[in-house]
Amino acid sequence: MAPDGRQPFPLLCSSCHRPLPTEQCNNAESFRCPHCSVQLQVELFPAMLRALNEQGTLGAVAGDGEASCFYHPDKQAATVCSSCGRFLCSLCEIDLAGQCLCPVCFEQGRQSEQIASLVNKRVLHDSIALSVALVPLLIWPVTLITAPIAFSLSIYAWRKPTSILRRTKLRLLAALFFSGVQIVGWGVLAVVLLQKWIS
Amino acid sequence: MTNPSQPTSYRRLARGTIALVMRCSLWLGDDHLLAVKSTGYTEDYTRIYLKDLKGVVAHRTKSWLVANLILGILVALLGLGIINTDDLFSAGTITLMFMGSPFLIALLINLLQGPTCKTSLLTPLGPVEIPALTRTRRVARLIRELCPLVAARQGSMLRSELLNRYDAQRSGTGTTPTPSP
Repeated sequence: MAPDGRQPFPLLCSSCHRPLPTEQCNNAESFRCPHCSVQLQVELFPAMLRALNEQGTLGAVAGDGEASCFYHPDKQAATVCSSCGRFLCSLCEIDLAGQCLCPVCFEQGRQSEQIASLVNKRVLHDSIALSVALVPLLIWPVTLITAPIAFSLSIYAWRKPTSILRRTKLRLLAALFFSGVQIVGWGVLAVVLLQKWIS
Repeated sequence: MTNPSQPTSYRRLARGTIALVMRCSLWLGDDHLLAVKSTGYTEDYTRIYLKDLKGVVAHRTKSWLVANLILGILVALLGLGIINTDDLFSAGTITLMFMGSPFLIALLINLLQGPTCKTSLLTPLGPVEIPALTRTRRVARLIRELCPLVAARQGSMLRSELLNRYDAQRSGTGTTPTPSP
């Protein structure tokens, strides 16, 4: 541990989890772990020098006539929320993709999934709709039930957020097409059978 | 500066599979790496910001050697079978060739892709394993690509200076201030 009490970030072998020497790091060549002899390639960046328990500052106390934090009136304002414009102390500011947000805006953005950089899971409705449209064709009579489900799922998914990676609406269009064809097919079959039954 | 409400454009750096069922990939955004695990119907995202990235650690695994050994034995056995036949165009020989060619192709692809490894990215919260990075060659390419991007966000530092300062921190003699992004 450093003399100032901060714990340095540990550099461990990813195989045996024991401390690694730094001599061979950032060398563009692999070396063997002195403990488990596994071949390693290690590249360290300057952020490695930041301590393990490094935290933000608590913020200076606001003096007379100085702007204070909206959430901590006794603390000096250090910045402004990019979304709501409230004054924030250094404890309240949340740095997100170069913008500064207050805890309330951050939480609202997270819940409404409006902040793309906070999304950590997405359901791919278009893939589900396409599977529901195509997989039941293996046992085709099942499509009497699954085709309307796939069709309505495609319409439901049209406005739903999909993957944060680049993705087209091709799957949804295919799901709409195949489920539509199946519905039309069942409709035609029903009409033919009805005509036969009447005649 | 990027707007957090705007979608980020990503460039794929690597992709792979987990247990042949889940797909995984690593993407490069404006200021972060995005690790994606996908079942085909859901996607899970892990962001690693370049300003916080502490390092890359990869250790070699034996999968490459084992795969080469198994595929090599299979190809050799089938090759021996083909050599020992009298007629090169008989049905048996053609069947053996047909059976052996996928193994031979797989062996060649595996040889070309190079040794396998397990890769972790060091973040302030600890190491994050990246299943998409399973080849040492790809890891070396990633490091080459990341170095200038990380230097732009964390500041550049000589190798000797960085390692000396880190060693000093570890040994408890470090008094130099830590860099801020």
